[in-house]
Amino acid sequence: MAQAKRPLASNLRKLTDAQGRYDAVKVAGAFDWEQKEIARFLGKDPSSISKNPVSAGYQEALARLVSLYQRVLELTGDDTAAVVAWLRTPIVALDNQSPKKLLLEERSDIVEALLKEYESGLAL
Amino acid sequence: MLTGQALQQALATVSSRPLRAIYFRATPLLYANDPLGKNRGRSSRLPANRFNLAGGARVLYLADTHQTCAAEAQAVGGASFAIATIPVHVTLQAVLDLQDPATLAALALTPPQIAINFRLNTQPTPTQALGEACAKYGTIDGILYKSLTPTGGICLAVIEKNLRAGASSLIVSDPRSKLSDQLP
Repeated sequence: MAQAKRPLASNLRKLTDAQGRYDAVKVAGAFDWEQKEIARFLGKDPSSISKNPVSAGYQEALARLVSLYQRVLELTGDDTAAVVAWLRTPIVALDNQSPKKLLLEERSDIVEALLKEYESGLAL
Repeated sequence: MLTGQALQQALATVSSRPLRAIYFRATPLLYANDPLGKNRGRSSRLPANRFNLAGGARVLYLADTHQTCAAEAQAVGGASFAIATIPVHVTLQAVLDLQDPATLAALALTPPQIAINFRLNTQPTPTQALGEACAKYGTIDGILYKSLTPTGGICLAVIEKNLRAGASSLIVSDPRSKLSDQLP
């Protein structure tokens, strides 16, 4: 399925520029997010993302997002389409909110905690 | 819900019973080579769950059937992953049954309190307080409760600290898949 092909997080270089700085537009592509959504996640205007997608000010937040992506990718056996589906699927344990919704509402701590929980087993 | 000293006193008098059965543990296939989750919490603090606080008591979560495990796994977003459902031979000595109205009354606990979503709650929930109190009290080694999924199945939270060698145990033994482990 050609449309399911996205930058592999196992090759993080595909999400960075030549200097190793995360590129917000490339990260948005991996997540299948629109530019305005990654801008919202970063608390910035979409136009500023276009102008400088590798801004130093974005790096910490983007690194956390990529780390989260990698952990889900590991769980799915490197299935990038499954990661995208997981991100947008409402989860009962999160009161039927999707991980994407929580990430965009600055509640990434809840999503990160759920991923840690998976390492301890799967129980509601 | 009781807390503190009142909860400890209630745990000293509430009825519990032994349990010997096969329960199942659902885990991402990625972590199936650690069937009783002994490695969890080693690289970072234990995550919170229904009967334990983050960094608190080690509690292992099991369910009565494959179907309950599947429903629980799906409810936490596990439908995108390969899941292993591992049979665990359970021998416990003192299990609280939260399906029993008398037990709930003794603990001043209600079904809606059991169902509080600890993941979206910033305060410790009554069930987390109960699990941590059980670990501290030192006798109760398991808590039975109704699955919050529509399966109607039963879940078992095992308080690892209270497993007594020679009396209570969790055993995984599947020679064909080379899975073998035991607690304590």
